Amino acid sequence: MLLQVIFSGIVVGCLYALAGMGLVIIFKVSEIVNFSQGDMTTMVMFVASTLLVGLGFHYAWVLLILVPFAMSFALILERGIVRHLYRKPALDIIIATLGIGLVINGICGWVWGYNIRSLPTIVSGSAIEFGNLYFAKNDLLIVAIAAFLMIGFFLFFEKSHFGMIMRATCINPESARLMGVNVGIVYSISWGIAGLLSAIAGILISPITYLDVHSIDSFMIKAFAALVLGGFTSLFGVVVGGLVLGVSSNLLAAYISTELKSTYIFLLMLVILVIRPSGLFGEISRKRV
Amino acid sequence: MKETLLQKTLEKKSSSLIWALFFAFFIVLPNVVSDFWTYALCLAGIYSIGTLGLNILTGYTGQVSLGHASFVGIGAYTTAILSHKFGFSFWLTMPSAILVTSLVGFMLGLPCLRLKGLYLAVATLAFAWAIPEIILKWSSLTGGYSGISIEALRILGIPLESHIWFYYITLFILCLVIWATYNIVNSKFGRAFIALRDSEEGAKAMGINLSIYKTLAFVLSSAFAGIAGNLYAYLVGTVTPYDFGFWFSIYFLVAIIIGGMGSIPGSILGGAFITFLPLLSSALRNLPNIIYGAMLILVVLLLPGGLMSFVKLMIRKFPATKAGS
Amino acid sequence: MAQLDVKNLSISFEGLTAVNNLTFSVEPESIIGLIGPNGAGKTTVLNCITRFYEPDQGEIEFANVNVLALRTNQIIGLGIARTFQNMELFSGLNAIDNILVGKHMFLKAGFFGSALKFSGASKAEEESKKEAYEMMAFLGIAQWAHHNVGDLPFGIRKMIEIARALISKPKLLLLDEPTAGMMPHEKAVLHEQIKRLRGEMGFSILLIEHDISFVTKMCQQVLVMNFGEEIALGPPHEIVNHPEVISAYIGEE
Repeated sequence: MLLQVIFSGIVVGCLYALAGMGLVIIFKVSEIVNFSQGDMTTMVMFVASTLLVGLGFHYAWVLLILVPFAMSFALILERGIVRHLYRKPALDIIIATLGIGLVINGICGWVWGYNIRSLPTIVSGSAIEFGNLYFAKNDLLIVAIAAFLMIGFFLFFEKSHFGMIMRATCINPESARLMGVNVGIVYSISWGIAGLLSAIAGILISPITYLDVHSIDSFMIKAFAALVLGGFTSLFGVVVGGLVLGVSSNLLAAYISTELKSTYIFLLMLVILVIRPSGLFGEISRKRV
Repeated sequence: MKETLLQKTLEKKSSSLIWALFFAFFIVLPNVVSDFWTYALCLAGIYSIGTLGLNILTGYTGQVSLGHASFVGIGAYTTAILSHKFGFSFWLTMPSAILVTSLVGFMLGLPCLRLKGLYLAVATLAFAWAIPEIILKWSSLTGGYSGISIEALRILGIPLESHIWFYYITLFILCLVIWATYNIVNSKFGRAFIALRDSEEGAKAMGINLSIYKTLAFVLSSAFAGIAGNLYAYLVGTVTPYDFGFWFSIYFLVAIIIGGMGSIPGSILGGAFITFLPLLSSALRNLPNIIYGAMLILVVLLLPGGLMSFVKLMIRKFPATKAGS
Repeated sequence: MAQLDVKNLSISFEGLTAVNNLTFSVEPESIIGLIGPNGAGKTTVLNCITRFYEPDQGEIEFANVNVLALRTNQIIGLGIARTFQNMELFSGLNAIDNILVGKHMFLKAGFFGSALKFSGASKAEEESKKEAYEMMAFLGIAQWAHHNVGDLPFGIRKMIEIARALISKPKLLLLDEPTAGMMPHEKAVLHEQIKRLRGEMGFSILLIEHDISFVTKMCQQVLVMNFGEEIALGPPHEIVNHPEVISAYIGEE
């Protein structure tokens, strides 16, 4: 029983981590928190639902369409609006990204309406048994994809040439620029990756819960909690943060009370922000916030 | 150009006249419009009170808060619980709402003292999320999903039928709140808020205790939200947990940004805007969000002072409209 | 007798010594200049006195009070006021309100009194406004009282920052490079204004400056720092001819 709770905590933790990874990548590179990430993911989910349910496409095709769509959309946002924000004060950036989120949210409501939808799971069929534990195939897929992405990003950032360029830009954009790096492209790519992650996160999350313009919200708050816990600038941190959050809140719900989950998350965030704002693995931001 | 005494007297008399007409307009208004619009005006007044509160915290003191609506909710639920379960009258629920929200504001303000900018935003975001869920889960007290219904406001034992008297009460309280805000802003307290926003170093060197003033700003903004919540409960008649969620907090932020941060008339303008836009576009549920979002982006990119700076620009270009400023 | 005594002050940042074993005093009603090449540690000393930094070692006493036991926002209450190298004015306030912030600690008005306009609070506010206005008039800048400070010329902003520091009637005024960015005629005006104000109010001054002739005109004693240490102390005419001082500055160029 305990292990089952932990496993489902890991699964949901992976989802939090996926939702949070997009936030980390953008923040790491440009010190912007993209408050519209949730709404971007919502839009992706709606497009997925139209393709899957409305047009009956297979998940594989959906993914093929969704990923470029999400990436282009994110790139357009960055080039069109975010690019003007980089030197602005913190409050302005927060408001602008909230504004982007509001517009996307409104467009979703306009195009897809306010009725609740649901999406079929990606892989169906009976769960795999192991001892007295049940591993739903969908859950295993989620963990597998999260692990795959983690390893992929690690290899990209640590081992590849462009990954090194991106890391250099994170640390010191001015020096990077002086060395000939096109910082603008690095920023754009970070948004493209965030778009990719929102597509993947969206596809994995939406079958689990219902879909409407607000359904992503409770996920996003946990993504933010994972971000706080792991550190705003650490990919590894947000994954650890997501897993810790998923497992601990599941344990709390199972053994103490489901009523206290959101209080727990809020208090956890507050404590970390006050005591150790850089989180478990992040660096303290050098720029004055 | 020297103004003659005659010109000065005329200008003073004309600005007093304009103010008088202004007040007369608002006093006559509910009697000439339908009950629906009177209700809308009450709501606008309530939202303006809430916006004035957020303006003190974010506009004047520079502490970004994404959780303002939670305080309105706490005020509304305090009112609902005390009125419905304990039969408290308005004269007791209003101060209680103010007290409870101020206390919660104080408790949130303390850990937030060391947080700035982004980190503060995320902390208040978490608060915006936690409060409706806490309200929901504490169903023994709050009635869970179905919420609580509140009996209509009774003045001197007589329940108010139409919204006209509620309008006058709201108008009166709004004027009181505006007056108090104006006094605070133009006192050493207001100066301290702005000083701590503009230069923490300069503020400290001039003797301002940052912790005390940040906390005071939190408490004040929550107190105003409590007033708004109390009136909301009586006006709308029911409260449910997600009435006061994250999105509502964002709308308050929209109100101060669009109206103009650090501006009292801007807060009223903003409060009215977030009330009337959804009502006027009720057939198009998605339109307000799109407009709010577009305006936020445009304000950040083009007009840092919000609409008020635009209004001030117009006033400067057309001095004839300058009335008692 | 409000005397500033700094004894054996040392502070270092991340292994780099900024100030090393510095000892000096500022006697009541005296004017001490603090000069030295960039990076000598002058502003650091000021920041230690005003408690923006915590020294690693040393004692600072003012009017027999242990300054190091106080918080940053308690220093002005002790009678020490300062200006900043970056001119930390409040961009959202107009000129007279900026100056009034200087009176914050001494303005007797409670919160409810201010919010509800009780007579006590209102009177205190009115009196303070008058004081601020009089000081602006004394300095010849009264016509800008209601202008937003962001719109005002550089020299006027400097005077406003000094007025803000002086409205609390401090016993010691700390000036951090007040003439930086000024034209010669503006510096002459500043010299005059500070002299007049000091004549009226009788405060002592610790002045950080790069303009040696300004220092020579204003100060009775000059303390020269280099690499965080004192290299000379004496009246201006001695200091300008002091071989170590000269080599310190030439080394900078």
